Amino acid sequence: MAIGIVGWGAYIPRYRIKTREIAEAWGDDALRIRDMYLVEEKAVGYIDEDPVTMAVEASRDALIRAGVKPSEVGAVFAGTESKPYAVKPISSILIDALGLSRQVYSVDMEFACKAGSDAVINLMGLVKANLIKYGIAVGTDSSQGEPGEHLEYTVGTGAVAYVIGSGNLAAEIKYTYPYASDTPDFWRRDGSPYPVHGEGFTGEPAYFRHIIGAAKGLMDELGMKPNDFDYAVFHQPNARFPVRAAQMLGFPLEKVKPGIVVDLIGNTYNASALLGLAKVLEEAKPGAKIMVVTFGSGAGSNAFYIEATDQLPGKVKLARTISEMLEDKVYIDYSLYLKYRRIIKMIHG
Amino acid sequence: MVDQSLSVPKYWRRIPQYYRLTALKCRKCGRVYFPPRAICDCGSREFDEVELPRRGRLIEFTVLRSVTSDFEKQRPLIFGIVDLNGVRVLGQLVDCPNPEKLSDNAEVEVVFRRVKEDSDYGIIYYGFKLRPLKGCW
Repeated sequence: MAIGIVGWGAYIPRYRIKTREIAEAWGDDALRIRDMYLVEEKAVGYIDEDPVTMAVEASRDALIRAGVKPSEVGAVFAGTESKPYAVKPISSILIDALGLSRQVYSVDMEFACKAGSDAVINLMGLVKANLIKYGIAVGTDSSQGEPGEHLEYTVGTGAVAYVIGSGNLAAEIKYTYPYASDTPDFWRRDGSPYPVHGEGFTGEPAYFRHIIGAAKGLMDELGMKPNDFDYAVFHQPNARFPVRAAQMLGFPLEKVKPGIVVDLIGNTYNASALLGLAKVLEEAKPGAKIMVVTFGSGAGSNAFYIEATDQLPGKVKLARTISEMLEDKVYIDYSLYLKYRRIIKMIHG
Repeated sequence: MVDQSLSVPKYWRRIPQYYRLTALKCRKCGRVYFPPRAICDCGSREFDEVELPRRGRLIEFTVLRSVTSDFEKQRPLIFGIVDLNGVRVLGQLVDCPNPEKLSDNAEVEVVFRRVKEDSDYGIIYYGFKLRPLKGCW
């Protein structure tokens, strides 16, 4: 049974702030910041946007591209690390916002930035077991970055959703491979407003070990090499990390560049690599072979081998594209950024 | 429009309208009502549920620069009437930082947003708002 992506949707807020603007507000060297992260600007949700609203927008477009009726959906899983409620699910709001039936398996998932991809894998299992016909997997985040700290330069806002099923596929998910361990690279304690890095662990022991471990494991089990893939998409906390991961694995720059969005919208956490995949799907030809490797701190990666079908090109224009959303932008200054992201503690509205 | 004086029970009852623009279509004469009503102008009480389209045209709008304290951080507030396939709907317009450039007949899309919240600890009310596709920034 071929299982994969029936439809997909994404959402990027209209507002953007340049990293240069943030650097100037804090007296940092803007060129040095740009050189460190290669992030030009990032997406900022308006004051009335959050991971719930973005999840709804992305999921609606995913259902349109899938051509699936809401009543045919049997599960909705939302991956996030920035839930508006500590206790009250995003997934149940999605049920009513999308008009799904009441007989829907629904849960929010958390594994830092990786849970959205775990939602995809769990839905594949439910489809394969014939427990559901279609499921919706969502990655959505509007995460936190302490003002004046380096995370603030890269933390972005966005969501992506995939309808997973076994017929009418835009792309088949042919294989998955996990790589996870207890690695203290990044965390946010309960009640803490901002996350912190375990400084020495962020790069090599966390991101690169898990990304490379999952990617190599996938290729070893399939007997494939980087030359066999047309695209490689990696989790993108900044634009340097995925490019370096590609170099370490032997992928040329032209295979990884189409899936990089962090330079223009920032790190969208649970949407990050899956948004990169959505951008690749907009240009991939039938038969294109795509590797996707997600990453979540704490830490773990999921690697996917995905192959585009003949139906892919016909689905691209059925809903808003990443390319259109990247162009649809309004720049704001740092003071508006603080207001829109509710970083200033306000008593009224 | 999403009611600004919401309570949790009222909000819960209106979720189909606030989330999905669920309207009622008269089985006898075909007229569509949003918000729903019990009796059609033709006298029929037989309706089917329909969802309004998520794209339409702005008919008229107004800009509020003096607003209630709950909405001070969203000043100026823009409210407009849109035509969604023949049904007129009142709603808040968002992502439009320069309303002077907004014009009647602008194409808008229906979006899902936070409408208000009961302090930092209470419920968050979600519902539809309207977003111009271009032309007001």
